[in-house]
Amino acid sequence: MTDEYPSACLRGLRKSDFVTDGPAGEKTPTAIAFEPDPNTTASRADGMMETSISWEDSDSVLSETAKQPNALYGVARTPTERLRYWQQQFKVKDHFGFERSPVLGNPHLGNLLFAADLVKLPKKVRTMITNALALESTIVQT
Amino acid sequence: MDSLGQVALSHMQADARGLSQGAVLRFQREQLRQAQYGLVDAARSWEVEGPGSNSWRASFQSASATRGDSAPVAPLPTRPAIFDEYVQVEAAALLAVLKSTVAKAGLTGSVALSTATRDDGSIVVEWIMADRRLTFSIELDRSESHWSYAKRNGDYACGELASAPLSAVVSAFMDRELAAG
Repeated sequence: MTDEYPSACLRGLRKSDFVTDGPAGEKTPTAIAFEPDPNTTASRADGMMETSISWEDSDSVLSETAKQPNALYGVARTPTERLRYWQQQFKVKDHFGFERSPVLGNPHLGNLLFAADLVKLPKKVRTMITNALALESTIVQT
Repeated sequence: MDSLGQVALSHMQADARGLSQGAVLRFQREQLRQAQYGLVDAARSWEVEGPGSNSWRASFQSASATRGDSAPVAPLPTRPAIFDEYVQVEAAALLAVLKSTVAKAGLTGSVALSTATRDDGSIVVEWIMADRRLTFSIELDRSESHWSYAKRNGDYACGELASAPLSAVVSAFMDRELAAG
């Protein structure tokens, strides 16, 4: 396990609403594809909600991610540098972040993290972040 | 007069997936009815039982607790259909306005408009361009509906839907002046 991050993370797209047509007819992820699961905050002590991702530590992670049931509609790739960029740009470093969360047999798992507290991270700001994530992401596997 | 909510309302009779302005009025009556029973925040506090589930449970404070009496009041087992209808009307009306705005601005070829539905029934309308995205979120609780945009150059903004002049939001998003209305 390493604390360092590769150049990109991958997000499985499990619902048809997570994908739409872009202006040039290409498939592109929607903002809601990056919204966190509110149920995940219950198992955390830091009050954050999780959007599960895989860190693209090697070439094989993409094909492994694409095989998962939650990648039924493809896989979106987001550059780590752009995650950091928007984290600084939005000035929400304490309320939006990312982490590694490896499990036995899968060292690549991780999460995008969003504060569940609407005072710290109002819903409109959360949507703005997921909007930026969708903007920065490309679908690499359908 | 051109706040998103007002503009949307003015367009509701046109298309709105076959729904009428009457749906909005029924929604408002439903909110009023729930407010009378201490359930005014019901839509906001409903939570989904599990990922991908369409079943709902009420997590709001019961009417009896609010009123201070001891008679138990059964929680609403499902989200009233009128909430979904209301959100769909609002989203369809907003989409119609955006399509009109895009056409008037001559942007048709470079813009994609899409809608997506969250598990909680709220709807997201996205205006997608190669270097920027504008998102409108139509929430079950109208006061929580909002807009936001982000551009690759780092520009961003967000606000409440009800108080935002549509022309100002779109102008800021497009970096150009657009005719109001």
